[in-house]
Order: sequence, then C-alpha cells, then structure tokens
Amino acid sequence: MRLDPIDERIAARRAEIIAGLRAAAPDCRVIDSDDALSAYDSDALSIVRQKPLCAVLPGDTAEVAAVLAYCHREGVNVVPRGAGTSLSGGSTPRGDAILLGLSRLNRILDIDIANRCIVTQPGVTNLSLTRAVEGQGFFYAPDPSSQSACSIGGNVAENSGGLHCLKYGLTTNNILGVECVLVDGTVMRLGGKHLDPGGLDLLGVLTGSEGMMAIVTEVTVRIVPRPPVQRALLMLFASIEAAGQCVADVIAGGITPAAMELMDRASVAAIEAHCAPGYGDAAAVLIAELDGTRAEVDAMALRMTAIATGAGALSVRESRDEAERQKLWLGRKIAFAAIGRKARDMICMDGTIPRKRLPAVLAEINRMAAHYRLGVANVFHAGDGNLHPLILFDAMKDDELARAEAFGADILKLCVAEGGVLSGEHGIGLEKRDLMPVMFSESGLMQQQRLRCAFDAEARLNPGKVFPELHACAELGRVHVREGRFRFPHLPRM
Amino acid sequence: MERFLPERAEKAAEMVAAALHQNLPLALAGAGTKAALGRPVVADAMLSSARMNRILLHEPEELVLTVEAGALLSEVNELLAKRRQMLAFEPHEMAPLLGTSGEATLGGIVAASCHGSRRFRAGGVRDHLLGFKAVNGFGEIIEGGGRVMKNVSGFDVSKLVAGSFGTLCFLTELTFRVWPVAEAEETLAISGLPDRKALEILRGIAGEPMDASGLAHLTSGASSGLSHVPDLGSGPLTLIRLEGAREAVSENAAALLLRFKALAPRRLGREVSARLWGAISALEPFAILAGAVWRLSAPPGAMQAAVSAIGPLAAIYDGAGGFCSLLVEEGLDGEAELIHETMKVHGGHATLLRANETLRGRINVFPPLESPNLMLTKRVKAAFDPRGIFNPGRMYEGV
Repeated sequence: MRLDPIDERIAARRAEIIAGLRAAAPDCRVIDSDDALSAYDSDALSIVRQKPLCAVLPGDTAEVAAVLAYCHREGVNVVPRGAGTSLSGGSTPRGDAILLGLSRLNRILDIDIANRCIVTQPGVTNLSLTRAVEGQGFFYAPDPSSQSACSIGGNVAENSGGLHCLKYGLTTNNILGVECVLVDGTVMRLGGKHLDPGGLDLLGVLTGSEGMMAIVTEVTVRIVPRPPVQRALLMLFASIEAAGQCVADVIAGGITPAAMELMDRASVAAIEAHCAPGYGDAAAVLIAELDGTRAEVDAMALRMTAIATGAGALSVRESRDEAERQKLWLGRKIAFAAIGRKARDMICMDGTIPRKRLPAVLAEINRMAAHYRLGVANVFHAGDGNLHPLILFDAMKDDELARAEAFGADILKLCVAEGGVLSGEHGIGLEKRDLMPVMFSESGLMQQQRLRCAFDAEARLNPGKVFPELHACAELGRVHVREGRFRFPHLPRM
Repeated sequence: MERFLPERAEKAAEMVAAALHQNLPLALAGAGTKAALGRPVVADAMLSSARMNRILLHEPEELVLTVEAGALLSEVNELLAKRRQMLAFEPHEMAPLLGTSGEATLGGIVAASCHGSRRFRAGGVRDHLLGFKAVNGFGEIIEGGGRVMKNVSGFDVSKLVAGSFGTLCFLTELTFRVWPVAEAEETLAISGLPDRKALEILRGIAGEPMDASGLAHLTSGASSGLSHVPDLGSGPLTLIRLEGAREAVSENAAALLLRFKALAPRRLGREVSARLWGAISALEPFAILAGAVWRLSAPPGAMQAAVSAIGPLAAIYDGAGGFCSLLVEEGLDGEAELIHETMKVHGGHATLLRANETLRGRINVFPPLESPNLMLTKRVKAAFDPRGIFNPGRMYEGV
C-alpha cells in the first residue's frame, strides 16, 4: 500500500487556499491548526496516515457547493469524508487536498411512512435511521457492522452491505434518491421518493463510486416493514465441507435466510477460548437467522433443521426467545475481538467468492498462511459469499507487515481466480487499487475511468483511489479508428 | 436496413470499429421486439445480438445465471423453472403490447429495463443484473460487475447499462442473480373498489411484513381486458398476491380474507394467479385497445392524485401505487406535456411506452431532464460512445 507523492505546487499554496476557502464560504468551519488536524489524518485504515491541507466542515448544501466551486476554480484536490470508518482507505487524506467532512450535515429531514422512506442529510449515522422509524414498525435494512458510527452518506459512497444482504440487498438496492454537488459546485438531484430513474440510472452508478463522482448532500432511503419474528439457528459441524454443503442445500432448497454466518476452526477456537459459548471442538459453526411472520419462520426453521441434519450437523439449536437469540449470536458478534486478542495486529480482508468454492478456498488460504508464517482465521458471510479472512501479525516484528500485505493480496487474487471479486463490502479505496487489473481488463478499467471523467474531468475528487494509474481524460476520450477495413466483412446478414 | 449478426463479442467489436471508421450510425437490437419503444432512431444498419443466444451457466446453489445477450427469455424461463428458480423482477414479452413480432431477448430486457409486478418488493433489472460484457463505442470489449451479489469492486456500471436503451454499449453477455420460486402463491381479488380506497388498502399492506409480492389495482377500462382469466368478476379490480412458505401464505390469506370480509374477496389459486400477474406485468389489457400507453413512477402516496389529474381512459396501478400504466388517446401533443408536468408536480415521472412513430419523434418520450442532469447524461453517453454511433437520439436528442 502506498500513498502517492503529493503535488507540491498545491501544498505550497496552503495559506492562500485556506484564506480563499474562508472567503468563499464564510460560515463554513475550516480547521487548519496542526494539532486539530491530527484527528483527521486517517480513516479506519489507520496504517496509512497523512494530514490534509485543512479540514473543511460545511453546514449546508450551499456551503458544500461554494467550497467545491472554489476548489474547482483554483485546482485544489478534495477528499470527501463521512464518519471516517472506511476500512479500505476510501477517505485517506492527502497533503495536497482539503478534507471535506460532511459530519455537520446531521439532521433527518423527513420521515415519510406513507411513502415508506426517510429523507436525511448524509452525516446521520446508519443506525439512527432505523431508530427513527422502529417505533412505527419499520427499519432501514443495510446494516454494516460499523452501523452505530458510519454515516449514510459514506454508505452511499461505498455501497455498504451488512449481515442481511442476501435477503435485503446492499445500499444501492435501498436508496431512492440523492441531492448531490458536482465537482464544479453544480447542485443536482437524482431520483426522488419513487422507484426507477427517469433516463439513465445515474443514481445507480453514483452509489459506490467511492467519493469520485460527486458529493452527496441529501439521501432518500427506503424503509422496510420490520418482521415480527426473528429466530437464530446455531449449527455445529465436524468439517467445513459439511457446513458448506449445508449452505448450498439451504440456498438450492429455496430458503432465503436473513443472515447466514460461518466460522472456521481457527475462529471457533479463538471464540471458545474467549467466552466459551459451547461450540466445543466443532470444526465449523454456522449461524442462520430467519425472519418473517411466525408461520413463515416456523416453517423455514423446520426445513432448515432437516437440511442441516441431512448435511451431517453435529447439533442444531434454535432460539426460543430474544435472549436466547442474542446468546446464539454472541460468539459471532465477538469473533473479531476474540481473534484480535491472539495477535498484536490484524488485517481484515474482504473478498467475495461463489459459496460452493468455500472449502477449497479455505484450504488454500491455510496453505498460504503456512507459507507466509502467519496466523489466519476466517469469518464468512455464507449467505452472500463474502469472506473475511483475518490475518494476524505483529507490525513491530521484522517484515511481518509486508508479509501480511502480500498474504492479503494473494487471498484476493485467489477470490478472483475462483470466480469472485476483490471486495464484497469494504470498497477498493487505497488498499486494493493496485489489484484492480487482477479483476478487470485494461479496456474495462479505462471505461470506468472515462465514466469518472464524465463527472470530474480533472480528477479532483478523491484522487489516487480505486484506480492503479491516473490517465488524463483527454487521452482516455480519444477514439483510435482502425485502418481502412471494408464494410463489415465475413458476417452473416439477413 | 441491413442487419449484422455477430456470433461472438470479438466480431461485434470488429463491426463497431468498422462502423466508427465509416461514421456509420448503428441501431442496436436483440430480437427487435422493442424497436417501437423510445424515440425513433435513424441508422443505416442494425447490429443485433440475435445469434449470440447461448445460456452459458446456471448454478442453482449459487443463485446465478449467465447468458449471451441474445438468449431468449422463454428459453431462460424454461431452464430456471426446471430448478424451481426465476428471474424475480418478472421480465416479460412486450411484442403484443407494442405490436411488434418475435420473442424478447435478455439483452433487450436489460436495455429497456423491463420489469413487472414484483419490482417494488424484489427489485428491478438494475437490482438483479450482477455483471455484463459489452462492446463500447470505442470498439472495445468491456466488462462490469461480476458473478456474485456482494460486490463493490470498482464502479457499478451494470446499474447504468440497465435501462440505457442501447445508447451506451452493445451488450454481449449478462449475469443475473436468480431467486427461488416461492413454495406457495395465492392471490386475493376484490371487485368494485373506488381507486382511492383501493390504493389506500394496497399501501397499507405494503407497509406490513407479510411478503405481498403483487399489489395492483385496475380501473374498469383495464380489468375488462382480462376477461380470459377466470373468476375475476367485472368492474375495477384490486389484487393482492402472497408468496412464501405454504403455511405463511395460507395464514396471511386467511387473515386478509377476514379483514376484508365486507368487500367479498375471492381466493385465486396458483395457476390462475400466475396467469393473471403475467398478464398485468405485460399490460395485456392495453394490447387489445387502441391508444398511447404511458408508464408512470411516483411516490406511492401521490400516484392516485396524479393519475386523476391526467384522466386516462384506463389505468393499471402496480407496486401499491408506486407504478401506474395509463392508456390515453393517441395523437394529442399537448397530452404529453400535461403528463410530464403533472408527474413532476407529484414528485414522479412518466415514460411513453407505446405510440406511433410520428408522435414518438415529436414529444418527450422519456422524462424531460433539468439542464445539469441533461448535460451530465450527455457526458456519460460520450464516455461510452463519443462519436454517437449507437442508437443516436433514442432517449434524448444527442443521447
């Protein structure tokens, strides 16, 4: 992982830029003291740190627009930031960019139960949205594990997922509209309180664009009726293959659990040592959550128990009440902490694979661990194929950090080779940008960059993220017409 | 018009390169069943994916399907049904409605974002298209997305391609997520409810956790077109489809029967229910009637007021009022502006689905865009097709 060399010409204009921002948006908070900026020198990918030119905290859309218009005019880079919880360096600052923080835009604007949506500013946390409507029997479905801290604006930028994706989808499937500001300060709306865009689905491509297309200043999210019954099933297996088979049989059997989580032997051992939830010496633990009406959940639990038994489950336990449901989930909820206790440092990887490849992929990851002489434990969102290998190392020891990074890159290459992808929910950001050519062809990557050029021709928004190399938009937009071929040769015609 | 039918993406890329060399606009198509949708395209040649029609992969336990863009919907549906799976967004044939011929391809369905009644619950084409391959207007083979549902690697270009009406790229390969067919399905039908009351009921049910997967209301002008479906009665028709586990569906159906007892609801079994919702998704009642057809999208709470301001000949509300298809008299230019304006006022938008070519050339088929949106749309078009050779003007002037 590397930070790009910064543009010294911009960094040298720091005082002038700060003064210019204060003049352009007089009510906007501009933080420039060295001490205060320490709080803004990284996101949750904390091994990469650099202080921004300054941090700018606008209080409304007009201030966002004024700041962007100034930066556009003056050729200053902008790194957007929601709550700073990105694990992939999506909001890692740069010394030649202002950090545009959206945390002050933190009000819910409209709770519209009749149209089953909430209109909110981007700095509101994910969990607050559910809190705002749970009294009326609704919830906001995407629930990244950082949901008490992460902001909805950041969720839109990263297309965040969560435990319940298989049934309820990602952020992109749960938002209806945004107000956003383009790089030159133009304010525009995409979508509204209705489904489907009129014209091209620009909202769809803006979602998950990692802060490189526009700054979102307002979001309209869909809310979903909360199922009256949630029930957890805890299933222990003697092998990861048997657990994997159970997952495949559940899906092929037409059951869509709200969540399905699988932990491997190393994770189980760490959790058992930490809080002894009764996993014993199981080689794999599968936890599923069913939700719906009571009749629906009863029926599904019966079918799932039969499938698990058929796949060779050592035991199946079903929660009888809310307290027991929480208890069955406890081991999974503390998994990261339990595993983290075993090492000084840990990196959490985030690839997705076709579910049925899990046993083969885990075997290969364990082989790699031996090769790199590092510990690894695996937690798997089995429902949607999202794998989170936790690599254990000690950054203070010789070359362990470098080995951990190389190990992580090998895991992601393996995911792609098995028909999966580089990132299931953390995003590419700075962390994985150099791996993009593993997954995409050169022309595929160029097309994505051309698309970015349509939004931001000078690459001022979040530069250095997602793409391994920077191409100038003028070069990307050139059509290379091939030499004088005759008209459509050798093709069948009608 | 000449038709060119590549059998592989590489051939398609060569053809696009040749077209670029000669500055030759191309009409892009699958089987051409939706050629009468959108603004008329003036092109000398057509590039069609009709010969790229293989089903490449279906892995039921992975819930994933990959096909070439020219694969026929009927063949894909048949294959999925054998494993009790489906494309959950309810794609359907549009030829009967549009008065064209042939069978729909998946490429055409993606390009036209063709979805049906389950859209409000299960998502549309955009939500089920996991990845694609295509040839862009530079003559390059590009790809986007992947084969797994949880994927945030790079920009989500699949979303943009869905519903782009062939203005961005020539689709060659598509990967979808598929869903299990529900174990049980049942529909409740209520006759004679006034529109406002019916939509109130449907919106209420949409806010309840009972997995209603179809919530539609047909005015009498529309329901009369369903006389071939048994047990429907006459007059305005309100429909509630339940899908899920057997036990859950019968419990929910029983609860609704009790709640609406005074309205004399009727239970329709799986077979009739499936036929009925197929007919509603495909707007079959409008296929046999003359007139222009519009598709509206709006906040569910605003739709009924918007429709009554427009005053159509017949209306099919779907998705608990989030969508509505209208039949109006054809040939009135002013009508189009009224519809666009009314929908804007009510926080939604309208797209013209069916009208004669002259009318489609003269009025806004797609919702008029504000200036920054239109400018951005044009830049996005240019990012894929800088010379404007794909379906020129199909969506907007220059797009």
